[in-house]
Amino acid sequence: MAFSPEQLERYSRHILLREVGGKGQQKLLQSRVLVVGAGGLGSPVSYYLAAAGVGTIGIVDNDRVDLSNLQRQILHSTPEVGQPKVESAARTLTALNPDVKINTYATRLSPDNVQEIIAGYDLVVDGVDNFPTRFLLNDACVMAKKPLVEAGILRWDGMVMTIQPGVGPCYRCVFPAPPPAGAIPSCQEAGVIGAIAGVIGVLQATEAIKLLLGVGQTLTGRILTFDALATRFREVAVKPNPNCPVCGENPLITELQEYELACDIRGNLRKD
Amino acid sequence: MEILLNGDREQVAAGTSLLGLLEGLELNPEVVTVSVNGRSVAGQDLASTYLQEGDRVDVLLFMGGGF
Ligand SMILES: [Zn+2]
Repeated sequence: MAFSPEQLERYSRHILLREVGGKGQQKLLQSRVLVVGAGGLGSPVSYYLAAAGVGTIGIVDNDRVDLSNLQRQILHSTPEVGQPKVESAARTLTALNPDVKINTYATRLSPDNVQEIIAGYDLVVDGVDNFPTRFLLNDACVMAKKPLVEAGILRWDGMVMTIQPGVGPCYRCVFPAPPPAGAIPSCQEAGVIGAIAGVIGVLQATEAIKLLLGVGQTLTGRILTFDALATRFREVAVKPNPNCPVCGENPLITELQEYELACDIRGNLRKD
Repeated sequence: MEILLNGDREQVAAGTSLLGLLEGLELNPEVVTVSVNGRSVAGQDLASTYLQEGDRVDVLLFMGGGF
């Protein structure tokens, strides 16, 4: 497949890079990435993947755009308040790069649909806003041996890790089970600095592009944390956990299960 | 004795358990996961796992939000 003159110009800054070149750019154009969540993380992730010319991007999100989303969810804009997020996302991404095919899934991931949805993609990027879906996605990706770029944000903090099943640890190797219902402020009440979603989401997009190109060292077996108040990144080396309930030596989880969605904040980060 | 806590050198009393360490930091054990020398320690083992000189301890917050 040859580049059109427009493509040569659009992707010229990629093609100039030794690690990308024409071959790598073709690889990106033929790649398929699933972004779960079109919110704070999903916005920068899918924005940069579309700009990079990742040929097919799937977006999963069941919500509609709310005015309170616009402080950080840069895929959506003011006239789109009330519209389904996947539709708003598809419009924004197609306007940025018409080369990219956007598949939309206006649904919530569940044990019944997750395997079928992820099967059509080379890798998955996690931008979900709750623990049940996060654990479900990890388990499904481990079982399908699908690379997963995992991240979370809260208040002024964020973390990223890249999961390559069979190569390095999974999310459950580090966080074996969801926290007790209500222990973590995981919903809108907790607050978050909008720009953190950008910092962490752009790191996820970079990891995804490296995985697709097969270049560099990814955050496999390493968790990168970001403390925005201190402007400090920290790297934590993590090993596969032989007792991991999903990828360990004797996995207890062999079928996908769903956890209760608990959004209320009863606990607190610090004991007061 | 000295440990490496979240990348910084820290003095702790010999015989301190991971649960004791979290209590000293005023952290609720339910909202963090603790990794010692790269291996995560299950919640039920925090009280019975004791720090050793030179341990690299990382306390990771649960961050569920993609918001
Ligand atoms: Zn695992």
